[in-house]
Amino acid sequence: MSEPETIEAEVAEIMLPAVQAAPVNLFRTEEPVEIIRRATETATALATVLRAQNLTVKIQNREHVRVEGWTLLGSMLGVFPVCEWTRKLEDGWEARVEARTLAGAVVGAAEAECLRTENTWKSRDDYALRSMAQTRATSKALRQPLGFVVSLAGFDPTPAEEMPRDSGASSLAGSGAPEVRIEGPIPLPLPRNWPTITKYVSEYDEFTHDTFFKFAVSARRLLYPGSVDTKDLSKAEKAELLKVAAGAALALRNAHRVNDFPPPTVVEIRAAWASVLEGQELALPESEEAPE
Amino acid sequence: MSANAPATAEPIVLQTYTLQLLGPSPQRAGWQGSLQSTATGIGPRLLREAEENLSDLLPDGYSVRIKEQP
Repeated sequence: MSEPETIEAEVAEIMLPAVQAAPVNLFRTEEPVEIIRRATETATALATVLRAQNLTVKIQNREHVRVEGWTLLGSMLGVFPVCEWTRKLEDGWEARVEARTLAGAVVGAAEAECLRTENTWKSRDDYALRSMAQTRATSKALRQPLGFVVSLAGFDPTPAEEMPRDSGASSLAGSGAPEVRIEGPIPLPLPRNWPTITKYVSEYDEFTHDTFFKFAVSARRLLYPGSVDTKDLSKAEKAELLKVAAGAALALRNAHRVNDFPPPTVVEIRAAWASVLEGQELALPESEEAPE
Repeated sequence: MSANAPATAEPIVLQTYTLQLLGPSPQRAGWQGSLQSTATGIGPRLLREAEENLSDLLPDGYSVRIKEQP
């Protein structure tokens, strides 16, 4: 058997190139002054885009950001919603969404559901409930890491989709609405009947009145598919439709002052309805889409 | 253009806030920034929440105070 061969070698320390450290926070800096500066710059930019794109909903005189606004902010700061799962429930759907950075770090997470026990959703298709559960979970998950930027931008950090659909009424009933007080004119009461709703929207102009009531037709069809007239509705359904229309009229009055020119656009009137229909945007009935 | 076309006016600054950095470093502490808001007012509860969340992003020992400018 031959002698084992000895191999002489030089041991060298291998120097690896420095790996770029992962971002330390949403603003990718540890410099305190720079963090504040970037947070305020982001908030200012966000406010401009949200208003220009109509991505907020006015509820109880506070502006709440819709899910599109939250995802926009997320993309500005490198935070993205990732749906982990959706689950069918006995009477609806639930979903879990995580807010993650590009590096994959989870910076927020939330679960939310959408149930048929909610009036708006009781007769909707399954896919719509599943989608709304994801929408709610998305804005809720993004609210955790990004809510303060939304506050700095001057908006309420409670996502619009998280607000109860009849929150116009809940503020007057004092049922757990956020305690936010801002200076301004005394808020209008929620209309209790159709003549008051008519008065609220007629005080703008004829176009606003007509468009508002065209959307009322769409809302009836959304809430009670198959109905062709309000007369087809039960007493409870009529009361529910009145409540929704009252909330929409109040939302419109809160969003747009009567004497401001120009009067509300179709987009604004639609947004007022959406604010009481959990963000659902209505179409005008059959070929009645007015110019915007 | 229709009388109901969306308004395209520039946003108006309704309220200015001062953001003050508090912390151990004499070079940085006392630094002030400002935020010009197009909202009529950020409620005191939300301001405190924003202060806390922003402070959480800062290195140990630093915090932010946000004040409404008169």
